[in-house]
Amino acid sequence: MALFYRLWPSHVVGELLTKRWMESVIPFFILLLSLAFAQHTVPGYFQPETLADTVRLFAEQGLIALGFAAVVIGGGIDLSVGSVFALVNIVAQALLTVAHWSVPAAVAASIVLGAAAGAINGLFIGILRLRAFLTTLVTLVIFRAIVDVLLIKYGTAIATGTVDSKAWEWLSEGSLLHLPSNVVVLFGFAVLCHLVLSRTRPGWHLQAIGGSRRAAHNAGISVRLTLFFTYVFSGVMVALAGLFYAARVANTGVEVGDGLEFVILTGVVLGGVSLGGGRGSVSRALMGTVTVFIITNVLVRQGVSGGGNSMAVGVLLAAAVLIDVKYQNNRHKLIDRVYVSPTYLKLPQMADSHVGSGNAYEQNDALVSAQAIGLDQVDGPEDVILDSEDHLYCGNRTGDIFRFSAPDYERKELFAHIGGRPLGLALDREGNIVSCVAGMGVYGVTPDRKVFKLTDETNRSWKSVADDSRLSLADDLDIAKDGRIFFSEATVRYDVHSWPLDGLEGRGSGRIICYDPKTKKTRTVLQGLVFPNGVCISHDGVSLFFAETWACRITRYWFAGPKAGKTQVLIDDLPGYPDNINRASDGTYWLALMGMRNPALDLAMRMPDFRTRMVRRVPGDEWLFPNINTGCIVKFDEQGKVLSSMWDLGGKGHPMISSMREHKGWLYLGGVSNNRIGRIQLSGANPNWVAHEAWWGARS
Amino acid sequence: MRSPLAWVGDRLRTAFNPGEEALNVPPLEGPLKPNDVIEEAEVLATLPAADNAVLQGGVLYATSGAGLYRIEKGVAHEERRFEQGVSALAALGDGGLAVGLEDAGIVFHGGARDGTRLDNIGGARVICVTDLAEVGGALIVTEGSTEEPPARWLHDLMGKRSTGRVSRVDGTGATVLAAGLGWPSGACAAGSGVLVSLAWEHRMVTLPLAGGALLPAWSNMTGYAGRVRAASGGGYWLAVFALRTKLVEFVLQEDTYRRRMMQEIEPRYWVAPALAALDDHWEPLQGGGIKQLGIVKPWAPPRSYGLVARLNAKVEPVESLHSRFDKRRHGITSVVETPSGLVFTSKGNGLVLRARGHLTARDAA
Repeated sequence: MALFYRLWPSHVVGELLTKRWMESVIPFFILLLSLAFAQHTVPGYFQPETLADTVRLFAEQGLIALGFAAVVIGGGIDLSVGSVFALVNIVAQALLTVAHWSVPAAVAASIVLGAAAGAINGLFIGILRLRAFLTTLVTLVIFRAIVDVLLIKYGTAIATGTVDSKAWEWLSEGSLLHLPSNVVVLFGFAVLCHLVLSRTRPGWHLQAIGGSRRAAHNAGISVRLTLFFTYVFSGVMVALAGLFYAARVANTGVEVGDGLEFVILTGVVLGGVSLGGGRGSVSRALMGTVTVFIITNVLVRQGVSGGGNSMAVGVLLAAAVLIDVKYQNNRHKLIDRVYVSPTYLKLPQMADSHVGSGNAYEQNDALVSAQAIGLDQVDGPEDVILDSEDHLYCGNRTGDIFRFSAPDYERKELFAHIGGRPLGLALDREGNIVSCVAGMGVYGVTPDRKVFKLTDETNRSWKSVADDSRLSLADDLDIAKDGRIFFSEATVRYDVHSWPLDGLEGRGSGRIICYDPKTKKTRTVLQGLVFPNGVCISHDGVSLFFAETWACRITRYWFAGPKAGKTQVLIDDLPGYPDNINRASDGTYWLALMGMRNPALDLAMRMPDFRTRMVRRVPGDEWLFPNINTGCIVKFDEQGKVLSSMWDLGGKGHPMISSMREHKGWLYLGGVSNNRIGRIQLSGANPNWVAHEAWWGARS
Repeated sequence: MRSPLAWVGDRLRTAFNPGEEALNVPPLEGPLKPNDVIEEAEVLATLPAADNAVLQGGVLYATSGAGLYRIEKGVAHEERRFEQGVSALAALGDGGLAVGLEDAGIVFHGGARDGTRLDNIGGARVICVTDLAEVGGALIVTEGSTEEPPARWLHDLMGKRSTGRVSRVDGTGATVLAAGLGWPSGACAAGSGVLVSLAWEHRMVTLPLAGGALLPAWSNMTGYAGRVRAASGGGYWLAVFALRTKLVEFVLQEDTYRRRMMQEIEPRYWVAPALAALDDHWEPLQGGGIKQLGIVKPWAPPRSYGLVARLNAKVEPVESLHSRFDKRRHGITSVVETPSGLVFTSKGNGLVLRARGHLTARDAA
């Protein structure tokens, strides 16, 4: 079972769903299905000769769909497309056969007619702000009435007249580069529409209006004009389609364009252009239209009656609208439900830390007497650090670095505001404070309080579905003697506020990253780590220790020297969740356990399905959590032997600890959810030892 | 209005996961709105496992383990030590006390039946007396379980057992009024019948003295109802010894986890209700219980809690006394109204407590 959970990438589902292109995947598969359906039902459907005719048929619908999609993306609807289509068809033929206009003149006039029809819709809907549905329903009826009048008057004359023109013939059966003429035009407009919609200001404005008309207006977008021109554009597209149809079929029947709006609407919505507006693309509109076209076309060829055909389209529309509404409404819920994906995590037997256990983890009262610094003046000092003048610095939840001035640490001042959530701190050779800032990356603050960025991205890994190049939860760091900064990113799947979810997953989603200031390059060194947290370069200068919080282990990694690139697990049975690690003055290391394991959670970590259901069914405040109300400090040596621990038995003094820093015989304590910094005097520690001076050498 | 799709989804879910119900724990609101009254109550005595506060002939009795104590002027005097832990205590009309013993039936102390014992009811050994009440001259006995002794109440709950009984004992013998119940834990005369708490069923019912169907009185309670006693001016006082939480309700539905937890983990570290906070870092912690800026939220989902509720004659709550998550007077197992105030025992934290000024609650009819 453990192996299954380790190998099965259940977390990918949620990551896939967050991708925007996922919305095109469903229409694409439906399109493939319809293609298979056509191939299966009508043998030879895709043979070149018949296909050319079929595609020519489709191109007219495609053109209309482009304009229709633009209208729908803008939050409207254009039901008059079928009537305008019929109107242009009849007028173009009448101009050519009855009035004997030249083809270019007739074409131009038809396009102007389409634009004018669109302008009427645009005027009422865009400028006068009437309802799109009612307005275009009315224009549908009116244009259709005009068509009927024209048919009675000129129907016979048109039917008996002929057009003798090369240009007209090209429209009907010409081709360019072996493609039917109208397909070429459709393709051109599709590319143009795509570029306009996705790459230009008017396109973005249109999507913004569709998303929220009021918000778009407040943002200074000219809502009325944009909508007006959308309908004009729709009218022009319909006119083009009408022209191609007139040239190709020369039909003067009353049924021309009848029910066309219905077919186009079905196609566009099936493609995933949301009826609510603001969501959709050209490719999706066309995919949907192709699907509907193929299905109706195949049914026609199979001899299904007109009623049966309409029925099929109606069912498709109902399904498409249902999917549209349900998907849009529930997408986030769906992601919420499937994103958290716990895995199997078996922790080794833990040492008993209760009083009387007699081992190095035995609870004691060493921290009961911890003095409080900055009580109720700080909010979550995750890490603390001291400079050569003994001033004390800490990060704060508000994105600040605070300084408490030596010697009494009574005076607090804002040292620098970085933003984000400053976590781990380190001092570099020049005396800059370098901090891992969750939500931002790795930043530095110079002694004269200037904030500068070191890095905020690393190389994207090919295995990851989600884009993991940005640093979302940089956690702790240490600086090698050659200046390279090694830091941990706890998880790539969650931000700092959602850390409990990562804990419930117990998945290896974190990494160790190296930033080299000489080359200004950032690259991932180790990945697949279970919430890597504390990072500390060992006294030997060629390896580092890192803590994997949920896995309760400490691992050593050699970044230089003969063992470069190797890792070795140093401690793997900690009784709690390890956080920051720092060097101690006596050549050993300090380790903060930010919380303690408990048997009920340990068992749950071996039962991923239980945790999955818990996350889904139980509200967050009632989830089983790691006990981070009680922590302790552990001291271990180079070989990973745990030497001693310091506790706050009873939890009155300083129970929650995420970091510690030794400085001149004192140990300063940070805590990620504390309202204070703590400090205790160490017995037998070197009273002159300053961590960064011991590392970099005392500056003159 | 729920959508039809949601309805179909629900049906499918129930089809594939039978037994999975909504985690519906009602919030503490209205008359049950939290306060700090228990926290402010006066300590009458400190007994390690204070339980069974009973008033007999003007004397306040309480028990702790196998000891029966008189509580006088803030001092607990040992009246008698039994061979087993005392699990129930009731004052009788003849001046004596009926005493339920862990795993050892019922014994009478003082009064007309002094020294007599009752070990069997309906042919089954009495091992888990949770409460005793004299109703209409008969003694009503609630047994939490016929399989587990009182000390293993948590095993009974997390084992999802339902073997409790309510019986009537009078001159003619003992009659089982109802059986197969989820931990009957309190009984009190109510009109011509008896009001019974059914802890694991989260409800209170009334039962005719002659036997017959259970009548629901208060259903889907927020906590596990315990002993119930008559209040002056009508109505009742109810000791609620722990609250339900969504996590525990969830674990009760998760049979695999529950079984493994019961096999592999010490009971005090289970995801289960408790009579007191352990203040031990191996205790399961829920998200709301995490300290922020050094402060524990009083509203955090409580593993243990202190709650006494005043009910009216229709068994509706009208007033309540609380000790919340961040406080330490939890696991209230018994309550009795005395002339000097309302006395109750925090078994979880070993205290006999008295609250004054909480006897004036009007019966909100």
